[in-house]
Amino acid sequence: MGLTDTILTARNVSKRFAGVQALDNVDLTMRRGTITALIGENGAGKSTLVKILSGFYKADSGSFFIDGEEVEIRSVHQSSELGISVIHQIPSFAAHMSVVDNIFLGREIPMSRRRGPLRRFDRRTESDRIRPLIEQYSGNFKPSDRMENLMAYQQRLVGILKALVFSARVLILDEPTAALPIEERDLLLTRILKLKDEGYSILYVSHHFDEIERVADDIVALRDGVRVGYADTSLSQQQMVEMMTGFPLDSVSRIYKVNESIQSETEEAEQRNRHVFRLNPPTRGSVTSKPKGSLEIDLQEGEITVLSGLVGSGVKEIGEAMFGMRQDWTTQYRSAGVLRIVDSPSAAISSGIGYLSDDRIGEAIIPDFSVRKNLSIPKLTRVSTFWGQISKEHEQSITQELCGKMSVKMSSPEQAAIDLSGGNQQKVMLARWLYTESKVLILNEPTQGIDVKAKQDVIALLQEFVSQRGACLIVTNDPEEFLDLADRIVVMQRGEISGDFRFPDIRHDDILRAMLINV
Amino acid sequence: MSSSVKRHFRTLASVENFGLYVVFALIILVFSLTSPYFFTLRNFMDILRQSSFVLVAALGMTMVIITGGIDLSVGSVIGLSAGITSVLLLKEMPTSLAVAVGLVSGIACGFVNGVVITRLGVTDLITTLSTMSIFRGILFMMTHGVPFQAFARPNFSFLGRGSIGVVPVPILIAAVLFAGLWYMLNKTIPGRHVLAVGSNDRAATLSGIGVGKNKILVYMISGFTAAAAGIMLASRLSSVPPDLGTGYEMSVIAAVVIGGTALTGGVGNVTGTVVGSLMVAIIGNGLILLNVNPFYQYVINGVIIILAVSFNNARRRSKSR
Repeated sequence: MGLTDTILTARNVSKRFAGVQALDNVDLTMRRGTITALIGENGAGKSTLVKILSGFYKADSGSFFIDGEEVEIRSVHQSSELGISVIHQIPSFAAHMSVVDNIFLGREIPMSRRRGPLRRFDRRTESDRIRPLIEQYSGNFKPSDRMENLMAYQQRLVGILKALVFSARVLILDEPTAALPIEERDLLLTRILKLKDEGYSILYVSHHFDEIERVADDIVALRDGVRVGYADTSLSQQQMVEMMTGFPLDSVSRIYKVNESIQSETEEAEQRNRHVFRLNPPTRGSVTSKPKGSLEIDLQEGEITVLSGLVGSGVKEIGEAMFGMRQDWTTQYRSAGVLRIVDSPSAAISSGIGYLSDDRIGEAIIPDFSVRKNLSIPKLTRVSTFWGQISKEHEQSITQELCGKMSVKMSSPEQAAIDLSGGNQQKVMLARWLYTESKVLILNEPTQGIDVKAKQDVIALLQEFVSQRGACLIVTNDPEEFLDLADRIVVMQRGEISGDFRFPDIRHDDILRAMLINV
Repeated sequence: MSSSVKRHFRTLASVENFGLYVVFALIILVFSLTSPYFFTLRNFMDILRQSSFVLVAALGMTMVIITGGIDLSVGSVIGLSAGITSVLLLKEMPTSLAVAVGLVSGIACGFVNGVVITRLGVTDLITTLSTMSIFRGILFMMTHGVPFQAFARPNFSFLGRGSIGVVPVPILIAAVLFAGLWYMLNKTIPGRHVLAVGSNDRAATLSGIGVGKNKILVYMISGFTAAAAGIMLASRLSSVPPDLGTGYEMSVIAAVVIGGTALTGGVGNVTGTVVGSLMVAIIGNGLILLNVNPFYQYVINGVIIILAVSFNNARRRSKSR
């Protein structure tokens, strides 16, 4: 392979963030006119590498070559001058504006023969420039079409065309099919293959191994910031998982959760109450993450269940539907022989269900309320008289008790909850559902954005919650840190259950396979 | 300044609406020193009575603004409910019944506002701007452009003109409504829910609070207080011209905002609204006593609003670092 065959080479790239080695001497070689797939688990360093190549981060060390010539990448501007362009997961557009106006936004072509700040831009020249590109890639839309009227794959294509117009040669596609309806994925993939045929070089970052199997020429795998695998042929999905995780799939690898006796489980299981959720997603509409038919999630009291899948697999939507947050779904909840319809959060709360949002600031905390008022808000009847008068003393004593038990660091129950640290906020949000005496807790990414100590506290709390006959469902895109406390892991892929593992058969590689491999 | 004085000042400054009270005290001080007629019981009763009409409507408006909404239709509701009550009085209906129907009509107006906003998804500004025109139009159709008059009878006039001891009745009505809404907002579940909805409606929903239900409730409260203000005005003036209450929404919203209730929702209290209404009235009163050209009053009113609100904003910013 001669030098001119490689368009981009990165050598010994390292990057460190506050004590964490995000990338450690990573090499990357992209051959001209090929598609290189970049794979790895969450946190493996994929996005750090992408951000370094696009000039968003500066590498601590390492060298870069374009067409065999050494270059520096120190800014986003420099990176795009070199012809590198990142097309982001979900591109941001001005939805009400036309395709042509979006492509040339901020870089309009001015009318010739005119000067000054108020000169008009030349939409006709702009349109003439992109029209052949749209045709070449069978976009089936016009430059004048409004962005919002395009199909999702066409919008992605506009993002790519924008890069081509501004003379990109290396395209970095970051999860290009994320949030794309399934039936449109093939439409986008054929256009990506067409880009390759036209001589563009593509770095394809994705979790979807079936797509990679289809389009990739080369594969680079990262784990914990280190390049752990490289192949210049296409691989099977099985081989990709092996390369990424570093162990063959057939061998027995790590078994988690060894601290509990299996025997007692089976003995008690008979008397334990089950919480069964039957979910019916809306039949109309075409959303990628929507399950195809009705589906049943059953949680057993005294157990922690983890529901896991990639972004777009539908796990988040299922968690929300179980709490009655999705108006177009129907949710039936059966527990102790009683059937309830959960059509709103308030119906869920009165059925004994609690929900922790992954968006703490936007969906959980009431910013103008003190810790005390934040805690009692889902069930004020517990601290008030028959006529609805709230007892502040009662609220305070409950706040003191629960926050003391959870070791929330606060100056007093009257402190504004928004002023607490992230970990303490999260504990207060959890305390809410202990206060309502929930039987079922649905937690969406419960350890996201909190420090290590708070994580341990939160996990300890969940374990205590289930030990007192509670049932707990953790919804997450990244199951790794919950593997050793899960009694059961349900894995979803593109709206369907692709794996269901129960302790002691919870193995890291099985879960990854269920999350990633599409058969 | 010694450190203990500083500390005291700091705790004082952390009192809700501190800026408002400072400005309020300064205004009273200035007028007391400059006019011999200002600091008298009689004048204070006048001020209280004058401000009570705006205050009554502003109490309900406070609830609306706390949820992050706005009700531009209060001026028209004032006129419409006054018109309905006076028509019923002209038709020989008993006073208590006529007043009750007037109040219910105000609640109905608020219900319409709330339902259009929450169920049809029209923004609060557009909804109440439209109903402002609709309610006013209904009053014009009722009156055919001619004021209702000669409906006054002693027990009706008592509401706007009477007094118990030295205290005028409008002040008593305002005090009762203030006490009721203060209690609701600070001590009860519906009040807590209203505050939560204004602070973060998404979080409120996920805490099981019906956001739409609470919004409809506050617009009904605003309709009720506007109707009460309208009936008090009809009694006071013994006449309901078709443009009764026009422009009231401005004074009412000003009183609420001066009182420290944030237009963004979530923060506010009716105590501040009382001070806000008094402040508007006192400035007007003092300037008249000082023989200031009345045209200056508009300018001074505007400046006071900006000062009070920016003072509160600065305090809120410093509190949230």
